[in-house]
Amino acid sequence: MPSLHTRVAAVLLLLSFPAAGETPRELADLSLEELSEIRVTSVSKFAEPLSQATAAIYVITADEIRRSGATTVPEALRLAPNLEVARLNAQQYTISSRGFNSVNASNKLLVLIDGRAAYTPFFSNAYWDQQQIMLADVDRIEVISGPGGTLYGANAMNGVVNIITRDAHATQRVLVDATAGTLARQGALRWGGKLGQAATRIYASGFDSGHTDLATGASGKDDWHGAQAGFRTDLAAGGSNLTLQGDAYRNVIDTPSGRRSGGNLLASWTRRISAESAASLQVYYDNQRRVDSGTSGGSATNLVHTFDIAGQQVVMFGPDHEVVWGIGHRAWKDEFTNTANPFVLVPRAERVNLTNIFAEDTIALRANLKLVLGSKFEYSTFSKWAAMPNGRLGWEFAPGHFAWVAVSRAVRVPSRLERDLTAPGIVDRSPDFRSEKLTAYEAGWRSTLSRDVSISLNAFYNRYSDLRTTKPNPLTVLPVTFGNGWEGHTYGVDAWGTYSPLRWWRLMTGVELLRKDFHLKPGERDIAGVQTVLGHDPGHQAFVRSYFDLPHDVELSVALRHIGALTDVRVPSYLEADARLSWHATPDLELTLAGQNLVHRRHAEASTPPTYYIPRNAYLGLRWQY
Amino acid sequence: MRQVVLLAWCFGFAAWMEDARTEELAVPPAASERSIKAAFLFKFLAYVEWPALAFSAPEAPIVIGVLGADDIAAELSQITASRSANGRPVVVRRLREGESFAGLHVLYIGRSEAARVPGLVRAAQQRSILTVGDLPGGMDHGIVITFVVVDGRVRFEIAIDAAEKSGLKLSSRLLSIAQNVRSGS
Repeated sequence: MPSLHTRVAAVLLLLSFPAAGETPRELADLSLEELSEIRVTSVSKFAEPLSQATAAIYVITADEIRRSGATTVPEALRLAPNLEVARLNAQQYTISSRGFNSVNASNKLLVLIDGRAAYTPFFSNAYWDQQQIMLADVDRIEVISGPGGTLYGANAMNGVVNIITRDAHATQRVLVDATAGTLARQGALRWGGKLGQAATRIYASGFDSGHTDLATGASGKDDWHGAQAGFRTDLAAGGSNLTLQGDAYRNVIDTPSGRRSGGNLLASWTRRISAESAASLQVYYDNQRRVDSGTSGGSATNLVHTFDIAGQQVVMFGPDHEVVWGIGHRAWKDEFTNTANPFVLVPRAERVNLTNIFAEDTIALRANLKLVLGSKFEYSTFSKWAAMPNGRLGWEFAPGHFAWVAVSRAVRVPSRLERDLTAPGIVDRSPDFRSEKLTAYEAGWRSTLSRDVSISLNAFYNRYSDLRTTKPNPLTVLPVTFGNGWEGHTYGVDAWGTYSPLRWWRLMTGVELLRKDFHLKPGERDIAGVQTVLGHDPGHQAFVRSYFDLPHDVELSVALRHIGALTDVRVPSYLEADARLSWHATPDLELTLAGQNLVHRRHAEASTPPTYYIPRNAYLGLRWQY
Repeated sequence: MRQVVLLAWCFGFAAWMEDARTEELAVPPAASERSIKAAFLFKFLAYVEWPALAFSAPEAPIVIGVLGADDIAAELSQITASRSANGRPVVVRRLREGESFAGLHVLYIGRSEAARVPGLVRAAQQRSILTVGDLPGGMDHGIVITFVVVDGRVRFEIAIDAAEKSGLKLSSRLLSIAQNVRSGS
């Protein structure tokens, strides 16, 4: 089932075609006579959501994930040409959209898993070493580059990643998915079936990863392993769809010893109220716990509890207006205890609240021209009120050809680290640290040129202000505080296209170009330098992927990527290739041989420092359904 | 205090949705054209008899191929994810141009394929495939079931001669509900 926002957005754009999965199921249970009596809803001026989205959106399908050979979510995200994905070491990735990719700066991407934010208020980021989602049960991943403030709220500043798992009705069989390779091994088992009227699945998975190497060739000692289990239940009853899902995980880092553990429970309810309106309600609880040992004794523990409730309604006012509006509230309780070094948060434990209300109207100016106006108003404990308005215009100038422009404003709410961090003599609390702000100007063009060729081209110009600086004390340099002294702009292009020269051969290419230009506001200083806060971003990324459907149920795919150099941290540009060969021995059994990073024996994608080198690796895989 | 306010809001919202449900009619008052067509397409399966050799086993699935109508294919996939017809699972396949019809039992022809209809109908008749579409005048081109919108409602016309040429038997119940039935050519 799609995430809350996606589901509602889909209904918004297709109100005569209610959210996927609702009306069709009910209609299919009617008799022939009853079906013959249903009135067709009047004029829909809004067609397929994807081809008419007024945003730079790339959807990674389940099939694309399967054929890529990716075994983890961050690896699957490499498939989006509008994301920067850099692997730091065996455990960590930095992932961002349109710049700001680094451990300290990639805080501008909102990641949602079935509507649940995989985000921590501790340092405004998503931890990629916590969520091990079973990729076989992912329906799709929607990647939006560009601000999603109006629909998704604060922290969807540069982009939104929406990971949507499959409806339990679509996973009603037993599935075994296992890979064993030179770098990592993982296995997952899922059982699906019906509990009364509700479709259910439960799963358990585990992984064991080896280490990457340092420059000298010595082991990076970043081995780790973990396990996760969870369930999902979907029930369609009398016009409502109900979903209940939950997961629990525990990952163990060997050196220095660490633990990542947590769990979540989510319930969501969507309902088509009438031909003109649909509504949904989602509630979830999430907790995350991270423990790390200090290199010279002691440990640092971060514990976050999240409670979130959000409701949305989509209403059609006449044939020309589709309005989506909603209210939500998120309560975080964050605790940070540190005995490993002097850096602590004061207060040690804090409650952070985020309340928002939003409304957006999609207006059909003409049959092929639509205007979207909306805003979200958010109140947070740290930043009081913030407004995130946007305006978008979409024009289908010919069938299969769509152009759009948009202006939006987005903010990133301060994290606990930015407000409360202190270490005697080194850093003082920064209670005046404000939200970072963005005004984004975007345009895009999307065309289906023929049955075999499609193209998508998106350009952006982003103006940022109040980006974080590390301010030295004017007299004594130390202690430092955090200020909002950087401002400037980025501009660039994300483009991708697909071409199918033969029925059994498909090509996909993508390019991302980025330029950054920042300066300090008059009178501001930043002791940490440009690189800390503005990210380590390549000036360009290029991708080519080739998919071959060979005889005898064999599939081959080859993916090449060229990522530009990260000049600030002296990581050179690199070219890498992944390849995957699979054979459907029976319709229910797929055997796979895959290789990743095949070009060089090892290469680096980022540097924290130290630099960890990602090795060439290969694995054998098996996916079997019963 | 804040938690209490939240819970009250939560229950208020749920109660409001509950009220909305009790007012709803047993049958939805209106739906999109594509949803209705997809629902009909699924329902037709129970009223069609294919020749014995069309299925390899009692539990072999019914395969619906959709050509040039991705929206209907999407709606159909949702319907068939949790339903069976005649005791068989139902599989929906989006067909690409030139893809073979081997293994299909039903072929839905989208409007964009109008130019290719004669060739498609010939190929389908050879394999006992039930053809369905919404092209105006489809009945005259040999498409077995054609959707028409009459007075704001979706109805269908049946060409019995086309069905017979394909070796298909259609239930009289289906014929009795059809808007229009053509028996001879």
